[in-house]
Amino acid sequence: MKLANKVYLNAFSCVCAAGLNIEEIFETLLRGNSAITNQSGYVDGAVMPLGKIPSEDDFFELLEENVASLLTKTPWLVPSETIVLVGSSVGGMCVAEKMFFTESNFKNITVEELSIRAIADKVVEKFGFKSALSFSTACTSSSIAIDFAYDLITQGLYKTVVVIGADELSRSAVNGFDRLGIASHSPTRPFDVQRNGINVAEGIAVLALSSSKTLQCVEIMGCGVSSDAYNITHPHPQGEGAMAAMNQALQAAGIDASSIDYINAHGTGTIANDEIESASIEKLFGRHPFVVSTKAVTGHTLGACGALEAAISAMSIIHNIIPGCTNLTTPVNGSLSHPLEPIQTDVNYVLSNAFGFGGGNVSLVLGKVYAD
Amino acid sequence: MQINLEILGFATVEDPQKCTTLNEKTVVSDMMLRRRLTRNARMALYLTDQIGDFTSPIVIGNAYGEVAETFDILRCIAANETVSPTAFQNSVHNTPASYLSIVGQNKGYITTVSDLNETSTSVLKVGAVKSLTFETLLLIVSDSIDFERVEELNRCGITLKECAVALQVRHSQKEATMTLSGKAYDGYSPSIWAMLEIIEKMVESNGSEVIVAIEI
Repeated sequence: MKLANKVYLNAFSCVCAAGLNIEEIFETLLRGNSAITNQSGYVDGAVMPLGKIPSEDDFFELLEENVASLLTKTPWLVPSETIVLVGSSVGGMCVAEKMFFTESNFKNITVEELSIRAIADKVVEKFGFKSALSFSTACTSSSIAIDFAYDLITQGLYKTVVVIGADELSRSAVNGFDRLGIASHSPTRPFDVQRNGINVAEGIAVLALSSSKTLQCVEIMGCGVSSDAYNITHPHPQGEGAMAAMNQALQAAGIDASSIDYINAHGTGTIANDEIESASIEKLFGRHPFVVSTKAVTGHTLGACGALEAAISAMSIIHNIIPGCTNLTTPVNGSLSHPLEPIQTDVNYVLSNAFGFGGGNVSLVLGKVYAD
Repeated sequence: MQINLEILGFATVEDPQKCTTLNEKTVVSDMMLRRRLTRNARMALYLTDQIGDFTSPIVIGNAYGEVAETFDILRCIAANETVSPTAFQNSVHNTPASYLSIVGQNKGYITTVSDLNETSTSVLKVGAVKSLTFETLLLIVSDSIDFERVEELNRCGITLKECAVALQVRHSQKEATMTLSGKAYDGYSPSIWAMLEIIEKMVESNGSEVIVAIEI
């Protein structure tokens, strides 16, 4: 089918443990400083290394601030003609947690506040967007929202789409990952032989996508979505689903694997993900692209990671610089190119991966946009 | 911006308390997997089996997620008890999608939407847009709120504590035979109303073609 439009990522506004805006986050990544801090109060009797946003503001205040910030960067974006696509795995769960842990019952819980939809309702009401739709597919939530935005724009159904990836640190998630044995009790070390799990984190990434080029935009060239059909928490051992998503994204972008300069890996720091993602990347790409997991610095922002890392990938393309791999000493796969320091180089094409609970896989290809 | 969907098949299941005839043993032969299924996953698998399509791309929705597992985790944390790993892995909204993928060995596009009372409208919108890419799709919405500990959630007049609906659809270039009116259905979760309206039309049409216009 002939697609009507190209899709551009025109602007973004982000906040996570690594910074209160995308410039700060990218600087922290380039410095290679992990933003993970020890936090008590999430797992009883334990101090957990987590990615907590360094702000006194409430999560929903930060959400509104970031949408407002995006709108100041995009004066051409008309909210009443724009759909909001939310990707979140937690939604308003923290509101329910706070009520329950304070009141010891569920009597005052309202479904509107605890649902995934809480995020969309907040921003539609405040900023007057035309409509909203919320995806909740665990750690691929905001990536799959980007895939849907890509469809809306390429098919000519919308000219402008705002994608929001947002997840707040919740006691449920931190305890759950801890009980599954995949939450690290030290700063995470993606792709290292000594890696022992993720650092759960929070983050908000608000992206403006449109069918029109603007200054300093990148193109979202293709998306790939697949399912492992294997296990709820463990990726397919041969990486079939991951490779299918990456291949689909390349095919949709109309480029081959050798064109990719940088892979923003899912790279959670778990034993299973990093081994299987490494092997899958090696099979498809060989040694050529640089492979980095920015989660060593930001932590794993769960449903927000796809949108956050799309913004980070865009910064790499715009500034022609690839962050180094923080906390990596001995790679699990010596055949891949993991830069230990930032690399200044022409970055024309980036592939960004997000894989999640339930075996969902989403890959995005982003490309440089040249002036006409 | 309108996309027309032809309805190829449908299935429903509902119960005031808890659906008991979901044929789990027939649909899911692996006992270990069967034992771990959530309520939403059981209903989604039953409807998929009724329609007989485990291979099409799937858009699945629920308004509340896996409420039992979610609140079990909260209760455990509050009581300083150990959180069950199975409860945690089953607490994410896309749990039914994951089980559908595993049971049907469906390796294609599967996504989960959660928009509270707008959930089935959102599922139809995503299904309509994706019908421009895929030949057929399965659209499912389920909600299960039959939990004594969270009775507070059930103050909104929902008398059917478990209900789920599924539609098999494809894109159509033909003129629509129906548009959604926003009709309300007493006792049912508002999350499934839009899809119930289509199913009501299917039943009334007595086998003639139903093409629904979806506003994107």
